[in-house]
Amino acid sequence: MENLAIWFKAVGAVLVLAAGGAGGWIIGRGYQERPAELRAVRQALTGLRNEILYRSASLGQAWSEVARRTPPPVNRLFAVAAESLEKGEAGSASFAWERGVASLATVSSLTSSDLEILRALGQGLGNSGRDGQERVLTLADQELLAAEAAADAEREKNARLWPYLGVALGASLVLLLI
Amino acid sequence: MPVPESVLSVLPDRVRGWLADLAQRSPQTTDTLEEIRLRVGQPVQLVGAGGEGFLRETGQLTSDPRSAPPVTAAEVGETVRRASRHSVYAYEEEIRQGFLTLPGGHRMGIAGRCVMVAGQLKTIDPVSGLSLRLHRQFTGLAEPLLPKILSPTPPYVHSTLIISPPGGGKTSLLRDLARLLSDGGPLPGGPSFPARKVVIVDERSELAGCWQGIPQLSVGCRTDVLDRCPKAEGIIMSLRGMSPDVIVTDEIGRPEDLLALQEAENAGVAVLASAHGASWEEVVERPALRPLREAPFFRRVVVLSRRRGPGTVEKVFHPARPAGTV
Repeated sequence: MENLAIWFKAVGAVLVLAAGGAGGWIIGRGYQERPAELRAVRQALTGLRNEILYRSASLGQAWSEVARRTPPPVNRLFAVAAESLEKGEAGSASFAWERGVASLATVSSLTSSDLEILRALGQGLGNSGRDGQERVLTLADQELLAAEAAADAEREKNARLWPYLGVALGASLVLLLI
Repeated sequence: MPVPESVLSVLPDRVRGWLADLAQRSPQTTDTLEEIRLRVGQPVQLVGAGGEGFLRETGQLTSDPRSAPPVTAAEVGETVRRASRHSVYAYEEEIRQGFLTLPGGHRMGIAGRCVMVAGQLKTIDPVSGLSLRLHRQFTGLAEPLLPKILSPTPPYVHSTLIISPPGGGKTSLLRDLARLLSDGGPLPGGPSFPARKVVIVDERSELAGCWQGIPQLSVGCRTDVLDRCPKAEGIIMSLRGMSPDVIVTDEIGRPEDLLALQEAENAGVAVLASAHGASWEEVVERPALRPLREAPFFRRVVVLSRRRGPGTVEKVFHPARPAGTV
């Protein structure tokens, strides 16, 4: 009976340690993925700029094309927005874009401030001439570049720290429980 | 014909609802609708065969503009965005020219503050007024005229100038002539004639009603369209590359147009064109078209009126013999 209790405690301790480590790893991975996703967003917006300024594709076509060429999860932003616009679900391009941003938020490591940059971009897409589109895309790119630099700094600081911190927190909890 | 979906889909939601009510109450009014006009702060104006009026929330027409709800600036802006498929940048040139073409060849004229940069019109912003003109094709309109412009020798068609005041049916007649010549004969109970390769140089997208470069109106199976192409350039381009038998173009009036017509004549290509005016004499009084008096390039002149509706042919004659008829 006593042996069984010890076994239970040992298994529980391992599980708490594993959970702490996994939690820390997940948070740490978020810090690693965010800069990569921001870079992917900026690359996708360069593609969008080309579609708009040089191909004069309509916004729906441009989003579809960019979605096709962009890796997941960032492609979801453009795919959902394009589908929404083409189906006529959204009354305006900014509503369709907002749906894309909301969909991206559920699968990406981007922060609310990153998503806010994208939302602001959506307010300007499609409703001005080429010069206006170039301005809003350039502004969004500059803001995303700054966010990417900040995300890189945070990754350096936190990406390795969090898995260790998770294990340490788990170990502390184990000690407290024992 | 009811109001086409391509037109309804760009209208503000409120206006679409009022039109649906109007179609239920008075289908004849919507079936004969020619224009829907939206102006910021003013009620929706409908123009049709039976007259004009302002659209009320109940789906009725009224002559009193104060009893009909006004359209907002946001609604006018949204209509432009919908017509441009939420991509104003892709339609900058069209907006600069003052109109957008919708699927089906319908046309949306744009008015507002013209933004000038270095003396050139850059855009219209904000937009304050829109005129949605519904295109209706008059198939068969040119059938009675066609035998009078056919020639027994190549290119089997006489170069023809169609003259009328605005709204006289010149464009509809030219479009139907292009269709008939392109599809070939014989006409029912009429003469046989060979099908011709036709190029339409459509500077204002009115003849073929192109949308995304594709004709939305019936212009014949052997017809190519140079959409939004300046007339003179388009005539020369088509002579170089498309080997047409017949070139069709609308509203000539610049000196370079006549030079291009001369090129077409030298190449043995017939040209069907139109010009604003009430008579041949009035047309050749215009400075740019005066050379036509001395060296008539056209072999036929057709004068139209609206006496029995648009496209009523009043007279067909050889310009060297304006007193006679063909």
